[in-house]
Amino acid sequence: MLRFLIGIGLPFLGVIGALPWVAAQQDRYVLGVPFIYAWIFGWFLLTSACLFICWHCFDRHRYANEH
Amino acid sequence: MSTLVFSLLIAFSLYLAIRSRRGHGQQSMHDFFVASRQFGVALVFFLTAGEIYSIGTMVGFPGGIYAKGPTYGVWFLGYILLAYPIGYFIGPRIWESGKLHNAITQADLFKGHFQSRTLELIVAGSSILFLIPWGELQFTGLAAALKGLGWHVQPVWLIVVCAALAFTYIAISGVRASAWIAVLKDILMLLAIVVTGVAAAWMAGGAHEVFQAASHHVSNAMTAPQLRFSMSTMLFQSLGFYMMPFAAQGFFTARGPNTIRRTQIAMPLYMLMYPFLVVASYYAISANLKLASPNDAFFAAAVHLLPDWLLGLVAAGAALSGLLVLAGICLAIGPIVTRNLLPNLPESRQKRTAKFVIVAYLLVSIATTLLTPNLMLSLINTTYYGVTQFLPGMLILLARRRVRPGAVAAGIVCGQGLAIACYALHIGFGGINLGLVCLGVNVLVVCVGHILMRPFGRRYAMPDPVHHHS
Repeated sequence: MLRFLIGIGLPFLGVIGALPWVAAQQDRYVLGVPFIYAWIFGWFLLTSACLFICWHCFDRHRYANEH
Repeated sequence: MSTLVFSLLIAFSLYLAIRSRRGHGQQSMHDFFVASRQFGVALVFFLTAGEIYSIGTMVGFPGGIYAKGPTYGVWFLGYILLAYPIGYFIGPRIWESGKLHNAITQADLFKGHFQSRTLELIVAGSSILFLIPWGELQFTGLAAALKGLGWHVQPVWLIVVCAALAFTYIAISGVRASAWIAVLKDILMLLAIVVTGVAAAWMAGGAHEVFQAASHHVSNAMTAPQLRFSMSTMLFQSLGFYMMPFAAQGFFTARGPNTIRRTQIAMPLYMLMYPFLVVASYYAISANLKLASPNDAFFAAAVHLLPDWLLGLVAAGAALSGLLVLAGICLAIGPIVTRNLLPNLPESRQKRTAKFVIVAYLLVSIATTLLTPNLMLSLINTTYYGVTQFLPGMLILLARRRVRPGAVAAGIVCGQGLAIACYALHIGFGGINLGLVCLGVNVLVVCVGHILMRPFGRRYAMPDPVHHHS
């Protein structure tokens, strides 16, 4: 269950769930990039990290005998 | 000079196609279409990336954010990104199911699990139908890309040459050629986008300046209906992403489930090219470039910023991204026809017939491209409206649940029919993606159908007459 929460729950919450809040930050910039773009660019890294955690902590052991 | 670089790179891609065949002699049906399940992490990564980041990335996306701002950009980036977590969890299951049913196509999975000819035909037929707009998208994009780079050739000729190239790639060695060319395409596309993005930021004096200038032009704010559209579209299309008929086939090429898991972890990192693409597209606004159409945004920036020989590289990256997706669609459609629509074809003739089917598909796509010029955005949506309706059935078969095939078939038909009707009649749901509403109806029909169709018949136990080769 925890692996679904980390692997699917977090990215969907961050990208879809938080969108109303993110879209409201119109005049904020992060290093010159509008906040809405910066937020989604950040999730490129975070999504990959979430999936890596799923792999490293759970699935690597769970499916150890698969290719 | 740019033409020379372009031609050399295309010639090199043909060489790669020939080279990919080495050591695989006479290819069986399975080797030709799913590489006998031999690909490791790197090749699956490049093949998947190659088929995902189509010409829409270099033409449609820049055009969208140029004309409409982040509203467009966010859903486009979001749905691709969120597809990877889903692929991480269902991709390995799709692979296992493919191995169990010895599948080459997605419809093979439905046939293997539900043992229903009608359901197989519905999945196979609608896969082909909804892949036509996807092919149209590639052709439209290819013509726009090469025009944006200032090559004034009749679109008809361009499209015909592209179709011939896509066919040549796969005629040489099927999916193996696709995978090898994908490596070249991904490198060229990344280089083209990063170089243009860096040059744009450099010329404008920093990314900040580019965004500042662009923000006077397109608003960073989203209205309530735009927000609803973005959120529902991200959800809907991320669910539909791996329901694309060629996506299942891509998973089948992998060596095993863990190969797929590792590929999906790395996929989001490939998206780090998008910041460069956004800067390059907004440069067209900040530098006041005159565009014939918003779709030219990225290429106008490239033409403005880059030396001639580098433009050849950009053009080759764009062309290969369209060609590779076309090749991927062809590799999906060929076996759908020869295995699912004409099931009594002996395996020895399947490959040759598939090639004829592929030519026919390319001709139909060319015809529809020339006859119905469409906005690229609506082409993407149309394909997803239909393809995502496979989701309930796929989840049922991946979980190996026994649900009446009639209920699943009714769900798909209702979902797709309703989506086409809503789209054609311009029925809206207050900004909410109409495909998502239709998917809800689809699920409802499957549930109700399953309950109403009781008591259970003996259909599940019926042996499959076609399924004897191993």
